[in-house]
Amino acid sequence: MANEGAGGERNHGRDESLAGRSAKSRGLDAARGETELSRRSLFKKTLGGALLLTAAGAVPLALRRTQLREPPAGRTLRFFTLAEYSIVAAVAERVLAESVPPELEGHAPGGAPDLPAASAADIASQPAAPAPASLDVAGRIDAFLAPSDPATARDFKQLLALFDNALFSLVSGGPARPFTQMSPAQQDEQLGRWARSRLPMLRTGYQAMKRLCAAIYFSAPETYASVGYPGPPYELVRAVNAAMAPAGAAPANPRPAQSGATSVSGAHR
Amino acid sequence: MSGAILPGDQVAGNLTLRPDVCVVGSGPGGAMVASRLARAGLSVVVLEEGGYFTKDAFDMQESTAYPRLYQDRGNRATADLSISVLQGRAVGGGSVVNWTTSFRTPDHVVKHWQQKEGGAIGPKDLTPHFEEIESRLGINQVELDDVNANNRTLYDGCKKLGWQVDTIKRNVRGCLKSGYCGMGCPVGAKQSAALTYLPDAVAAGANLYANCRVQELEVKGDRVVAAIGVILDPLTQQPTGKLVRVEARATVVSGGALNSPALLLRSGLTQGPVGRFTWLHPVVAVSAAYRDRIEGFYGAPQSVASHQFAQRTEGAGFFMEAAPVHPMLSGIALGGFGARLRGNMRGLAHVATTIALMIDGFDESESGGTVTLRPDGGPKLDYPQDERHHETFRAGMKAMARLQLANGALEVDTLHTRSLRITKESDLAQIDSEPLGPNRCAVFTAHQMGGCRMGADPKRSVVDPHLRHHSVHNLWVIDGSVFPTSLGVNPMESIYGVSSWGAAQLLAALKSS
Repeated sequence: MANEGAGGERNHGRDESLAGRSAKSRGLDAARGETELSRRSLFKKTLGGALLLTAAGAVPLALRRTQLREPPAGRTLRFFTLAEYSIVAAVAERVLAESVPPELEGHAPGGAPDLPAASAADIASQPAAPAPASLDVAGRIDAFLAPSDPATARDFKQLLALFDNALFSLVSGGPARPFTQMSPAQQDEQLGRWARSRLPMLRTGYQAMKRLCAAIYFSAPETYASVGYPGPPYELVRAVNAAMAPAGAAPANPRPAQSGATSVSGAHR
Repeated sequence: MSGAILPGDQVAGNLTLRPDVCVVGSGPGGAMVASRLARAGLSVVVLEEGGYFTKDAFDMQESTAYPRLYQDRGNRATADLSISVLQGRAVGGGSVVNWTTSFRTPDHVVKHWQQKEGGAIGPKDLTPHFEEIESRLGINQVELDDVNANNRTLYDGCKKLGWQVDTIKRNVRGCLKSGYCGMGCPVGAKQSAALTYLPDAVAAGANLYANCRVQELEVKGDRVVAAIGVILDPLTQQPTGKLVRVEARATVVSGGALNSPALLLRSGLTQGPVGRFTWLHPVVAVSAAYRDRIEGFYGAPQSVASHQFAQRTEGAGFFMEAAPVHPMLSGIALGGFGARLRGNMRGLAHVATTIALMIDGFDESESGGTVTLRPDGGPKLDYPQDERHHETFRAGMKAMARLQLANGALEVDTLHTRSLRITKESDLAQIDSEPLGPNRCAVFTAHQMGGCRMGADPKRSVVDPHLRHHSVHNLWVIDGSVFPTSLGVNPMESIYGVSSWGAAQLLAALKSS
């Protein structure tokens, strides 16, 4: 595939060996494994072997810890611990990264960047997108998840712990470092391994993180202009509602100004 | 005497009510039942878990609308997250947030229900109900001139390939074509249940309690004694500790697919295949990039449908429609991450989105989805994908890519985790070789059906052909959960139609008892 170079294939191969090992030795039932993230069991079982315990001893303590980052002033965490917040912030940075790390050029785990209509004047004139950290994506995810039921909360927290675990990274074919201490290229490779893993549970975990980051970021009005979205037609709606006598009357102006196009060829330039 | 719609903060303390009928849920099923029964002179109480919102509250922001107006705050999905479930939750249910597409139930579907499950509804039986509904909801055919560019790519692409395609009918009056149906109509043009059958019911004396989650039905022997609801805080959606106890002559469960079977399970009513045979019209999508602006975030979100592939011999049928292109949903759905995701998002205004909806439930081999209970009592949905799904998903993606390329798209992207890029016919082979399975390709559902199947055989169904529970005699289920299969068309009008028919059955039963 054009968008999956040697790096992607290599990662895929490693990941299969992990899946094979745990499935064989533990009888991990993929069909059951995919139904719940809640199982700490996967983590425990995968780390059960003596070999892995030896490997554990070889990882310096400092490298097993989450690299912490502080939320911006005024953000009080209601759902995450500081470590969990830091993991999500690191994930958001890569999921929403604008460029591929130089060493991954040509085989980006997230897919090759390319925009066929990029030459269009309106796209070229769109402003740059704000950095995920400037919107505090992780903090907004914290606020969004705060009312979660206990089971969902536990699942998500366990997912984050596994995602930032140095040993799990090692046995999955990555470096013996937590995600938060990896280089951007290593982080992208880990996201790619999870995204295309043979283990359904890891794919579920990747999707949970990716969708939350994308949902929180792209639903923020600060990002609208960067994707060419002028935003809701507030003025028009206000005018129509003001003009509308009893409910059901025909609107004064039946069409928003922005959506003059009724066919592709008629779209405004 | 007129009734009222009462949000949770207007309930002062614990309540015990003794109406003729208690209706659980206020979507197209519950609203229809409440309206018909209240107008027939019965006292009706409706309990609705969602909040009550009017057009001024609809701010056209995805970050407001999904947590407020959708199940599980917009996060509902199968347990493995492999299928995202868009399902409304508000006074008016899914009709508040759906995209207004209105189809009558196809005759062959109703006949299938009769033949397979001993259904009591014949195709002609629904006709007078649909006529009344279409009149009440302003259901009319879309003019081609009112089709936005996003839908137009589907229309023109099908025409270029000689495929069946047509504009659809929508339930709107004075539509602004702003594009925000999915976030609640900001001008009250969409004729949702909250603007039609529920006001009819209230005008005829029904009382509706919003922010009231029905925890369980108290059942003694073959009778529901009471429905027990907990009042939620309208802002936080958390329980307030206040209870509503409704002791009615008859109780109607109209929570919709997923929620209706979950309520029966919470109530210990495990008779029959409750929760099983849940159908989703599983959706795969493609995004097509054009040189010109499409602005799929504006204009009626759905105005065109193609049923070219609804009757296939090689596997399940599917039909094709458009989906609105707002930033949050797009960001969730698009494949890849980092620069790939950002690049695709940057071109959002140039993207057309087409969806293929698999018509599930018509093959003997299919078991569909299964609803069980989550630890918090909510519905846990599992919907395994098998080869039949994958064959249909691939056929759907290829058909959509073909029509978009025929229409002049620069490129078609699939929603595989590793998004495929299709620029020419020979690229379509990639779709056959790319692995499918849970979370390998984005799959959605906006149409939930089944889980409380109707039928003559108590071993194969939850309610009888007249929608009365097989073993609890003052309990009815009237909503889309009783459908034995999916429909092959958007379900809203079918849910209204079957519920209108079901309300007549219930009324007859109450009069004779």
